[in-house]
Amino acid sequence: MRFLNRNREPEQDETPAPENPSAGNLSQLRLAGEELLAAGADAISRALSTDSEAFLAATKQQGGQ
Amino acid sequence: MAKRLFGMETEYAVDGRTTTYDAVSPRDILAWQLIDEARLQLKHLRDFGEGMFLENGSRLYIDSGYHPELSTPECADPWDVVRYILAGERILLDLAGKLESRKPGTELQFFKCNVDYSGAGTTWGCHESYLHRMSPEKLSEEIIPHLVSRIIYTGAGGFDSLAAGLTFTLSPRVPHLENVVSESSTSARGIFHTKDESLSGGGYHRLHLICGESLCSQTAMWLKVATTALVVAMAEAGINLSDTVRLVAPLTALKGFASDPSCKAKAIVAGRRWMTAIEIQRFYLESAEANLRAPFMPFWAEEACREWRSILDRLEKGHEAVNTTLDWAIKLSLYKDHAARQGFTWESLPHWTHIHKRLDAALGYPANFGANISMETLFEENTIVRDEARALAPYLKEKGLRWLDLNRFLLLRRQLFEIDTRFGQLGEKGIFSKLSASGVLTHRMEQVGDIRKFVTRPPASGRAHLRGEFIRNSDADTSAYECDWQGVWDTRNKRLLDLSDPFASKEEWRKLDEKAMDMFDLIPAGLRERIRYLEGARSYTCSYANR
Repeated sequence: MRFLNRNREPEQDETPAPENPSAGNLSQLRLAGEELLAAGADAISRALSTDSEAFLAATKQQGGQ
Repeated sequence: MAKRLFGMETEYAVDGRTTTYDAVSPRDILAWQLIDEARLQLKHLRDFGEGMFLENGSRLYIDSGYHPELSTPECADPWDVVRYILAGERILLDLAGKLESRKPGTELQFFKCNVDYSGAGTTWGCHESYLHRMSPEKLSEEIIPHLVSRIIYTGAGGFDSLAAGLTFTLSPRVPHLENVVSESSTSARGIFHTKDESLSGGGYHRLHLICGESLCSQTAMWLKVATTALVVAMAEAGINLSDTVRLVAPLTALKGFASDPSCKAKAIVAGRRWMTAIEIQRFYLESAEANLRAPFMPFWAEEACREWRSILDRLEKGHEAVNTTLDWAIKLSLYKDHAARQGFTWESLPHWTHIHKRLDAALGYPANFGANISMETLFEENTIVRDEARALAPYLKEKGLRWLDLNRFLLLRRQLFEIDTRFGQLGEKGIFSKLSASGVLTHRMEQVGDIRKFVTRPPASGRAHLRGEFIRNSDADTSAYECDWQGVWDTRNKRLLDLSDPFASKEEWRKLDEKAMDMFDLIPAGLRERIRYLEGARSYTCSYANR
């Protein structure tokens, strides 16, 4: 059994406009969201180095699979 | 109820630094030092390369690009997959601790991510394996729409590492996928990977997926495996899945879904209908629900369908409804907040991205660079970029942006790239780990339980159980043994524990002689040569022990 690599696809017609998002349980979600953002900001401030460029250069990775 | 087996391979990014940010060792040396440490610390049998099988049935080795890789043992349910991924991470952290104690002042870091943001444009994998017995070509047709649409809950979240600017994506692996179907795993990767190395006898095939990503959320890991295994089970049973949801352009659909956190983007399916990723997923889910009592379904199918339906219902409500559960949604909330704290609205980032791309293009850089762009370069005399900056002036005015903020945008870009890398950093320093420990996330799967025991305990059934138990109970000196997914070779006593049946339940050794070996068509020719070589009773020496 053999597969052929496929990389050409027919072009899609124009994508229809997204519908308006709906929301539910707003107050619960808002509270959980606020807690997440507060904890996230704290975690980020502790994790982030003072020189992101140096961090990215230092941790540069070779490609894998 | 049918038995199914599957597993996960995770490649980690690794780095070793001193407190002054100097590299401890070149990456390749560092990776092999880790393996040396594992040889010293862990009960194991060496594999036919430089890696090893561990007593919990996993395999630890170094893969392409010097990425330490852990393969889970063959698992019979999705909870075990999560357990053994997490147990593997504990093993890596323990090894790192041992290495660090030998070299005070150093820190070994593992990152659970799949793309490099330094500009190298590289990616590495998190692969899935699913045992099946159907035509792989037929399976590709049935499963591609699932693989394309499942990223709404399996995406790791992050940024397009091959583009200038900041483009959030549900799945940073997606920009690295170039084909629908591909046989390659290190370039020109595809949604469906045709590799069919079964690692079993008995007519089994192994679906090997390379389009997925390493995840931190237990729910996302669990769903990735559970839903995909159910789709494989249904396809194998001959249920026609693809007629209703066959995508006209799977790669285009994948990129469209990945770029839309609202999950409202639609893709065209056969019959000129448009479907969202959620609608495609609901089709697969309803097919699974309709077959829950079928003999080909595994015992955990009902729970999988319940979790599957729950996450799709939540995704319908918007990303905020899953932003304490799914990796990409957690990240999106945090990154929006971080951008706002740096003075940038999320809505302004596409405009800055457009500007960054235009300036990069003017300089003739590859798209993933941009390090040489800064506000200062815009004011240098007689440069192409200055001309481009002039041409962009009306665009800036229209969008309400100022050149003065370009450097701040570039700083934000670097910060978000670092944050995305550190999100999945293993151990307590990782951002996800911190959030999980602080109790603000709802990602845990209760039945996963205490991970510690799975560091040394293999799965309860199948060949992984036999392999792991043998390693657990073996003597300190295991130098006479070689291990593979399909067996354990005892070169001293010239016998083989045949594990070519993935569901093997009894430890049965067979005498290993030339005649018997020739009968083993399950043993690849290369391995047979290796066995003959090993029969020379070589003494094993660790080739990297002195590095």
